[in-house]
Amino acid sequence: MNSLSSVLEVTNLSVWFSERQVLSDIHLSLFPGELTVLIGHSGSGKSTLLQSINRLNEIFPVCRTQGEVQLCTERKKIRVYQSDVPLSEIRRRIGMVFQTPAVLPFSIFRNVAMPVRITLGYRGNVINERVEWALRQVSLWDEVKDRLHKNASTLSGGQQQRLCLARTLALEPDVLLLDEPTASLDFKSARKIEALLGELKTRYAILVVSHSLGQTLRVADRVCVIRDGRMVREMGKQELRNPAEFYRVIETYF
Amino acid sequence: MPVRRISNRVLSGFAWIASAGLCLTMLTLIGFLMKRGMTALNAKLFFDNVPWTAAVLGRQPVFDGIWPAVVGSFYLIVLASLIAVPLGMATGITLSEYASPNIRRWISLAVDILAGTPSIIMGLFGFTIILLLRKTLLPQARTCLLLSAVCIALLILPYIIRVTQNSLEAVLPHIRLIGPSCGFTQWQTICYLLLPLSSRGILSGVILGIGRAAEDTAVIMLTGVVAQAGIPQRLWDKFEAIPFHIYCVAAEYQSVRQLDAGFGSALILLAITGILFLAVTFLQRVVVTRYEILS
Repeated sequence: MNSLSSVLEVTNLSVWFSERQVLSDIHLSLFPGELTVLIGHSGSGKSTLLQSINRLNEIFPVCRTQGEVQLCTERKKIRVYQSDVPLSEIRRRIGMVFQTPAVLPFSIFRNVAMPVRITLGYRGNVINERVEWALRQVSLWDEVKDRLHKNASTLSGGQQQRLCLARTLALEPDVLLLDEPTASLDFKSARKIEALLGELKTRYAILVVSHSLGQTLRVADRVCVIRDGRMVREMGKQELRNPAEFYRVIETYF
Repeated sequence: MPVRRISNRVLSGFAWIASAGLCLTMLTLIGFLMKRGMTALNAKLFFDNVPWTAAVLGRQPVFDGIWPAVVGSFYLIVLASLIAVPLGMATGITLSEYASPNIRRWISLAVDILAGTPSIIMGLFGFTIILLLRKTLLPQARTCLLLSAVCIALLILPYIIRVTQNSLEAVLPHIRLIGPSCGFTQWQTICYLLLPLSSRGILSGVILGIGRAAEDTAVIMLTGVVAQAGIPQRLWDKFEAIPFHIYCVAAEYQSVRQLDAGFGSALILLAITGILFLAVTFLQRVVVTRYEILS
């Protein structure tokens, strides 16, 4: 694994909502095999940063973005904000999972299958295989294989969140962005998702927004602290090995 | 504390009485119609003395029964819905998903004005169109089934627009984000996510529209309905419709039996709308099941 070449490179990124600047001059790199956690106060710009990486912020008409985001896939480099690659492909390659488990009130199967069919254009049996593969990735297959056609809202909160993750994985992303994926879950379900992230990071570059410092210490390979829209501190593996040092830094920068 | 409890009791009591009153009124209305109309419900009411097979297959015209009016009303409702539902849904989608706030304000104003237009004005509008056509492009133009359907469509359009817009806007933000975050285009998000999720709401608008299309008399009186037309063969034929038939009976009846036949026709009108409601509900269920189970 080449840990030097980044999968995703954010340079000089600034975002405004109307006249208010929400992010200023953000630099961030995501590396394969590494899980980066983004921490900061509520309103510090974490979610905005996540949404400006896959250009989801563009659905808000008052949002203006400057700077560059570059996605380096196996074959090509995609400049997210300037490329001629269709926006839908960019968003598919930069998968996103939200804080509230956003399952569709459709069947479990359809929750994963519909995006596969629409975004990737797959048909027939390929879809079934893809759904099974994705559900296995998030260790949900054994729990739901006998009720694939039941409504997804019958699943527990944790299962729903894993279903959302499966839906994202089924679209063959290069990068995963997770916005407080465990915030609405109980302790046990949250731990399950954390374990899952540990497995998934070997295959995807992952950026997680978290509010839990304990969780950050458990899962992070790298931590970025964001305050008032600026990246104020970055901590690598070395620093994270020493929890006391970690909490001292948090005290200083939070 | 006791004051709050009393006001609580009073309010919930009032709510219960209101709902019970609604059911009671409904039962009284239908009961009354049944009592007066049931005796008149027979083949003669529909087909007069013509054998029903001959009437249904159109081999023999029916002059004194309501069969042509039943078919006329049915054609009218279906035609008006075919015009109003796609147009209304498209406008609703524009209002909720595409229009900028400024444009939305203007379109909304237009929709409100349309919703507030009395049906007699809509009828006059249709009538004027024919006058205009006769003087200009089409000297042989006359009021007809198609014109009535267009004017009725205009009448029910605001219901469908508003209900489509409101149901789309009611989709929760975190569900709405699924589309773009999965790489859907805006149109795909609307088609595969927002419309299926709001189908129940849109359906209620369609049902309201159907009810309105079925009962309206003022519009069709000025745009093509007549007392004796037989079953319309073409879109530009005159036609009969049940509400107009009931209106004529009520205005001109000469015996209690005739009036009872009018009540019988009212029951049939209720039945037609009921059947159309069921058909639309069934259609919606098919759509939803398809979306929930299959891919």
